[in-house]
Amino acid sequence: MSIYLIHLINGLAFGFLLAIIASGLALIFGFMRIVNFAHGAFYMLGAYLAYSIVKISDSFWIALILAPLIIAFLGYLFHKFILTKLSSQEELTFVLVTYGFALVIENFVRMTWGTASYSIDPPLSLSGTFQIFDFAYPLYRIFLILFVLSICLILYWILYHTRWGLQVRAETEDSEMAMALGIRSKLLSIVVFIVGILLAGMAGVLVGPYLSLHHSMGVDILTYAFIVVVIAGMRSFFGTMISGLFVGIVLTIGNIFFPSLSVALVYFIMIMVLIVRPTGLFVFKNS
Amino acid sequence: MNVNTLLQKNKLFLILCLVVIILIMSAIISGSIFWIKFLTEMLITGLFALSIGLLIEYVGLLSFGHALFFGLGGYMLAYLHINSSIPLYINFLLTVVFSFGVGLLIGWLCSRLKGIQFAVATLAFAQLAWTLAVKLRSITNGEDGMPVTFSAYPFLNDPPIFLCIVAMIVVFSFFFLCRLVQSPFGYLLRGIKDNQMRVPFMGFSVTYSKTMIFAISGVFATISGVLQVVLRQFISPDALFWSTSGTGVVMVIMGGVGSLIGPLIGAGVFMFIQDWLSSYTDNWMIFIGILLILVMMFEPKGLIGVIQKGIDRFCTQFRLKDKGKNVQGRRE
Repeated sequence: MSIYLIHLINGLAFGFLLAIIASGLALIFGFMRIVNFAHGAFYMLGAYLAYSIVKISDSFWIALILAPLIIAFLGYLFHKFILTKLSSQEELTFVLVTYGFALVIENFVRMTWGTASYSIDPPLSLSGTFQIFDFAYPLYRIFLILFVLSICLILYWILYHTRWGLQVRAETEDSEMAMALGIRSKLLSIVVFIVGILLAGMAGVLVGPYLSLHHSMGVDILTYAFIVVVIAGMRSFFGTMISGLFVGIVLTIGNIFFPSLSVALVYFIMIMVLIVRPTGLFVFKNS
Repeated sequence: MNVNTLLQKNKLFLILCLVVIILIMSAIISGSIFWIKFLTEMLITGLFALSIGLLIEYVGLLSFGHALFFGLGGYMLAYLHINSSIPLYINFLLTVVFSFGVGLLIGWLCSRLKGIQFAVATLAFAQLAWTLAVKLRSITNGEDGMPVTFSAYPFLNDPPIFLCIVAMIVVFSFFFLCRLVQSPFGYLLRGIKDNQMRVPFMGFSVTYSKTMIFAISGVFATISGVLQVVLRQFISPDALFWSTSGTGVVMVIMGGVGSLIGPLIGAGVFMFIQDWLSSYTDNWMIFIGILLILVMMFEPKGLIGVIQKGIDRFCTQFRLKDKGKNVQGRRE
């Protein structure tokens, strides 16, 4: 029976990762109506940057702090010099610009680091194992789960217990009303965008010791992140979290029992959601 | 309707015919197999971009999943050709009919979705197809891809003849779509793009229209997939990956949104860039990304927009000169 617990924990690890990435995506879309096709690319860049930082400094913790900051700064530059300078503010425009930027980042990564696969070693303090029943479970994955969980809790606290969070939620739920009330200042837009990108970059750093880095990881994770956001509905932060966990667990456990078709199962779930409740499972109002 | 009005109404189409004929003749006369095949591939890609552009320009739907139809066309034709003795023409028809059915199903499922949800949903469907193609090795040979030969049909292997066949198919498809967007159905679609909420009040079904046009667009993408597999004699899951759809969207945007000829121009330009840059670096897509960003920042209407502005400026110069001469002037 305990083997299922192990699978569940594996699923949680991947699920939390997916949840944090999808949440960044949902945050950016909910607040700014920008579908960030470059989200996976930021994630990938974060991972590769972490790899190089670890190689130079030999410390995972420095990479964990430094790489997301660099990624967030890149996101800030992207926002300031490209996104705000667009002549039209339609959704389609943002899709294409972020897609173009994703191409730029992904090819840049390929040019700089090549197409080989890399892996990052977890820091010494976390490279041991933890006894769960009769299994030696990698300590790093436990750390991953706990770390992402605490980030989620911090985000939850900000969103639901601060004034800024209130403004973000208001804008996400009903942007016209929020604008009429004077919400969505430029500063808040930039902050939300940077936070979303930061989350993606951080997820990239965290994934290094857990899964390996490969040159299509940006595209792979983005596809799953999109599915999570479609299932959850593109506006709900909390729903994205839950859906991310759910998809992660389904994928991991499905991989054990139906290795070829676990992905198909996730798509099937998405199709079911599209038929039954196209706006998403966690969207409750009629806007 | 006499010949004059017929010519006037279909100006765009005739210009296209002319350009295509010139290109074909120059390629064939030059005798270079490379250019003939390049032109063939350009036309096929143009058809693919056209199918995507149709949805974006006239219905306002962004589909990131057309690679599904493209790959479906290629895989189904290849599979039927290898594993059965059905003649090629029937295979082609079967593939088209099947893809129309798939298009109806997916179009119907996604018809309730708007904007970006639609894009993401179509993307996910294409990825589902890609996953199936990679995992079901017994049918599709997985990542290794399937080579196909059409030795029973020698005219398909003769580059100039195949080029003419492809050109005829593409030109005919373009004509069909030109007439479609100018038909009452086409105007209904434009109405849906402009104000979807009003359309049901006029007695039309939005769901039916969206589903139908999605399926039609899918059929043309399938045709381009079929032609591609005949040209390359090979199909692999890459054809289904969403970067294929993304590339198609890029071509449409680069060429210009607003008419049917934009995607074709975009496809041509894209293929030239690809050919030119890929000899320098494997990562030439980075330039496509930069170009895409620049286009969206400065000229969202794409190359057509640039050409249009150039023509406008040219004409305005003439009018200015006229205004100077005419004392009475003309009210513009």
